[in-house]
Amino acid sequence: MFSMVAPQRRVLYPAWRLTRRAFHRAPTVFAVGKDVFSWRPPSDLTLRQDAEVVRKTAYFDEVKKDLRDKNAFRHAIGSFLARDNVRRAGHVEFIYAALKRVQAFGVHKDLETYKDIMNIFPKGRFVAHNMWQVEFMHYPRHQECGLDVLCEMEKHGVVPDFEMYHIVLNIFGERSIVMRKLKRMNYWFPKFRNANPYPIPFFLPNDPTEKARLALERMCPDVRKEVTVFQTEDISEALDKTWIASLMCPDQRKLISEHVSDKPLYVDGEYSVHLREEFLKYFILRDEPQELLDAGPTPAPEPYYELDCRPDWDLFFKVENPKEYAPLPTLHEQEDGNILAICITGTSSQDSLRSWLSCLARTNPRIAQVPIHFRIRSIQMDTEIITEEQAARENEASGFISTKKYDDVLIH
Amino acid sequence: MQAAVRRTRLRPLQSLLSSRTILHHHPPQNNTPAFADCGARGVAIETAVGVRISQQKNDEFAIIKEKTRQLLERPKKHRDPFIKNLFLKKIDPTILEYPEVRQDEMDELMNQVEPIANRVKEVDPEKIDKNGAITEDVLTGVRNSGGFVHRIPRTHRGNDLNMVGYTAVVEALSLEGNMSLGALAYTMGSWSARTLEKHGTEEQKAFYLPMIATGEAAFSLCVSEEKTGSNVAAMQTSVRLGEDNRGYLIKGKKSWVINAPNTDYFIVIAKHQGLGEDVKYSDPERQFHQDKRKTGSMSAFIVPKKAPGVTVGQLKPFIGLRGLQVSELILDDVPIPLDYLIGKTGDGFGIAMEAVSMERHVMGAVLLPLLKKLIDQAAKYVSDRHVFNRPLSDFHMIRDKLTEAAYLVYALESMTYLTSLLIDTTIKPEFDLESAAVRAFAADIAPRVVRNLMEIYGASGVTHDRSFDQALRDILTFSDIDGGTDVARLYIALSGYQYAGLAQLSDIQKLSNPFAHPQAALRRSLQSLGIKRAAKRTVYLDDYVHPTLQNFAYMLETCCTEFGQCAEGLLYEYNKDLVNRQVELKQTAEMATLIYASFAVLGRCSRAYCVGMKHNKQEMNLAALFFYYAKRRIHSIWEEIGSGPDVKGRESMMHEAAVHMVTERSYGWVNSDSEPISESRFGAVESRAGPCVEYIRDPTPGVTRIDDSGDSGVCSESESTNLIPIRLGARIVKTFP
Repeated sequence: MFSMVAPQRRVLYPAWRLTRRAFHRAPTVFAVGKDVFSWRPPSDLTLRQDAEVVRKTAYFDEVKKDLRDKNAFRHAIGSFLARDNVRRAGHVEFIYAALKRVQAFGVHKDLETYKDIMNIFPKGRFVAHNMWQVEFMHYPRHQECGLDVLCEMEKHGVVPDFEMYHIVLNIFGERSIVMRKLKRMNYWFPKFRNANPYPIPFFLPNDPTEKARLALERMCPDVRKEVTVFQTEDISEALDKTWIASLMCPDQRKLISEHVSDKPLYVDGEYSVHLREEFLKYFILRDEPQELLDAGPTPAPEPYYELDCRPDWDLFFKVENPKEYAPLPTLHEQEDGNILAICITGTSSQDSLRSWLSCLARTNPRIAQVPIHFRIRSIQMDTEIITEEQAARENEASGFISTKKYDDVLIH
Repeated sequence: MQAAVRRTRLRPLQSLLSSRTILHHHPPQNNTPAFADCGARGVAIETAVGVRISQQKNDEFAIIKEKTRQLLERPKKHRDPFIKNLFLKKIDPTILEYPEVRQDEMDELMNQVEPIANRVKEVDPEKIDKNGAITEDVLTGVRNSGGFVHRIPRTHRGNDLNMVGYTAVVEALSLEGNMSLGALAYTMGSWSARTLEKHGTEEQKAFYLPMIATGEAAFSLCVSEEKTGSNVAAMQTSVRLGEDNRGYLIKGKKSWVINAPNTDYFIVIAKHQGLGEDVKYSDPERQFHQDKRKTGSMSAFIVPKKAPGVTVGQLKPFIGLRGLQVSELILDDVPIPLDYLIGKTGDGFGIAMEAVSMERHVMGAVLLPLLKKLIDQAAKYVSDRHVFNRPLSDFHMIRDKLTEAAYLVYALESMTYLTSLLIDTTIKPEFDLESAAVRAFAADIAPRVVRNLMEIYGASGVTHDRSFDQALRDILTFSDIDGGTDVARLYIALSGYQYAGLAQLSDIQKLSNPFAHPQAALRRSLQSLGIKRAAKRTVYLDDYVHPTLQNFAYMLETCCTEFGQCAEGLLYEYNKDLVNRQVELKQTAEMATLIYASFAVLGRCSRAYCVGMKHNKQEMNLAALFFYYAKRRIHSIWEEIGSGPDVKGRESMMHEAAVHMVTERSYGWVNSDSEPISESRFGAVESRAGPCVEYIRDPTPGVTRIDDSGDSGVCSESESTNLIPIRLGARIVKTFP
């Protein structure tokens, strides 16, 4: 019985449970070869069933690729049902075939579709009518198939609703493992759905700039973050005509304005960030870490019996600069340097990054006065690093940036 | 097979598979029998199979959809009034389930609310405040987006919204702090439309309700007069039958008529004068009406503005809610046809009281958007502004103020919607006390919330840049718009005590005559010895919430017990005289309000946590914080009422001080206008009656002392400037070294 909770998991069972398990499962399922201890070559029946699944997949595969959507999926189901609506022969295989194709049709996050799939089962026949049927898993192959539909939903984070409950109730009845799985999903999933403190919308927006905005906002913990979207079409020097989503907070703006001009800033990247299935690349504008020379040796912690208990705090209404309210480092001042801005561009090219800097320079004139280095490498190919020398050569070729020293890329 | 099924039900496996897996931590829902009953038992299976056999050719999906819809339609259930039963020490734990609005209903409702909200968001409340009127284009816009369609039935071109929908619409109308608009919709909906719908004849409904629904005509209710105030029965406006018995003539003057300049029809309550032809009718009903007219009872009439003799007097604008355009209405022998009477003759008082009291809680929805908006602004300000090199939000005092505002608003919101939900899901709803509780609570917390938020801003909070002055004016006006907060408080306490008193009549009679019923008296005195013992739980409220909240539910039950003790004790002590003990009444009303609020808050956050709503952790925190606040207050009132002699001392002082001021007709302290003490010496001091304080110049500090012993002394005056207030009545003694 326990194995039914999560049928995909492979667990090592003690011998006594294994015997019970053998009782609880239909012999066909047992022979499929999911079990570690009792692996045996797939039987003829299994092979025939697998072949049938492949054959049933044709219902979906015959739809042209550009026409694959929710309606086409429903239509495929409809044409299966139209063939033999009374007996619905081979519906289990058809359901497996449908589950294989949900993602291809882009309906894997759609509850209505899963209801349609579940509805393929004939009603009333698989309901257990007495305790023996309940205990010994009535119609095991069909129940396993129902479970797999629910598991597919689980995989894509779809929460079943009350209607689904009634569908399952009509197919398998109250006392079935499918119903138990459904109830457990219904209990836990809504709890998990909002558990993420940094939520992402369930359906991502189609607009890439909106996606970039979501990703940037998730990365920055500052409450005063501002995301600006630039279009490089406004910039005459830009080669790549694309968009740039850039995040900058007031604190970062202040850090840039206080930056000393003889020290360079760096554009680092590219780094990766995931937004559900989406994979985005982002870049960082940062400076070198501050040298910790003036900090001196780390003072030894005072022993506990010499703890200073005097309330020697500075009263802010008597002392001009109370030590309790000394300025704190901002969120953006990290140990490995200050992070000054982050961005995601449409092309992730170096040209778009240069455009980004010139956009930033409009509101932060300091950027134009400071040397800026590009330290950029591609994520996919770790070994190939665009060296600064190479970058400088490219820049010279483009005429956008003029530089004397090959390791300094200056932006005017 | 039947036997097998019956035996199976006892097996542990069955319980594992039963529907409790889903509903374990939810409050028990007795109104969804479908979930519990369907299963491997005969009935449900037969239905399932039956469906398949009978309609095999139809789409199964459609059938299941229809069945689900039917099953989801929760039947209304019987519910006893909640606060009234608290007075009898009965707790209804099912209120903690916080009834849910179905998703499809919710979507439908949101479709109606959204256009209104979008329209209202463009309206500037400051402009309304400055103009002293809601401009015509705003009204038309709101009307066109369906602002006033709400509760009128579909047969009369309305939307037939339920109570929750109505509350949501009113909240949408008062978005961005447009309290005037929300209050106007509330008065139109609850005071006028509902009155017509409930008491009007079919012809009246068919004629007037579509006009309100489409926004062609505005109605307003005219009850109060300048001199009568809360005492509606003492009104002067009179109505008499015309000479030929073919119509009524109304004469009088009404004040505080809301939206009078724009109103087309007034619902006027007037007192019969018994004039007209005096006939003996054979029909007992006609005779009854005539008698009613004779005895001077009141009736409600529809008075068109166009009728001759109707004059809208001068505007008497309140300090806040200036969009309401309150003015007076002068009726000078206005002739009205006989069928303009609403309800029956003599029903007027009931109609007026019911109109004002039944749906009071919607006023909470009027207030909510303003408070939420202020909190939004403050939260943003707190994160943006930096003081002492830190954002303001880092300081604990600021956090405390912000949180207090939030949890009070959370409680108000929960209460308002809980009351609406209860009214919607009950067969014969009797939740007028709950309505009044929401109303009283709203008026209690609103100034407090605004004050808290103002303090966050410091000096800039009291400038005109922030909209606090308008918010405060609106809120203060809001507290008095429908008869006042104190009336709501008395309504709660007096109705509750009456209910409890009637239910326990025999007990009280026995106890008030201990010599005739010594046994009862003895039992009572023995019981009262144990009053301080830990309260015994009876309903186990902690079983009805999520386990995380068990502790709070446990304490809440203790609070209910404390309330029950107070109510019972006061009822036994004062029984009939309780109607005059207004301080105790106010205190019990506050306790009841806070208990109801705690139920609303705990039920709501428990539901949110179980279902996994967005920001449920925040809801849990706010609920817990509010509960701590409520519990502290309830407990302190319990202590105050429970410790008899102490409260009597306090009470007598209160009475003395008040009576003194009333007899002096002033603040009551003798100041510069009294004779100088140096001339009168202590003799004059002694002769003065009553406690009062004199400022005395003290030559050398520490020399003068107040002597209670009664010895005579000397009080001198010199150039020193030490002023000490001295309570006269005590002797003033000066000792010389």
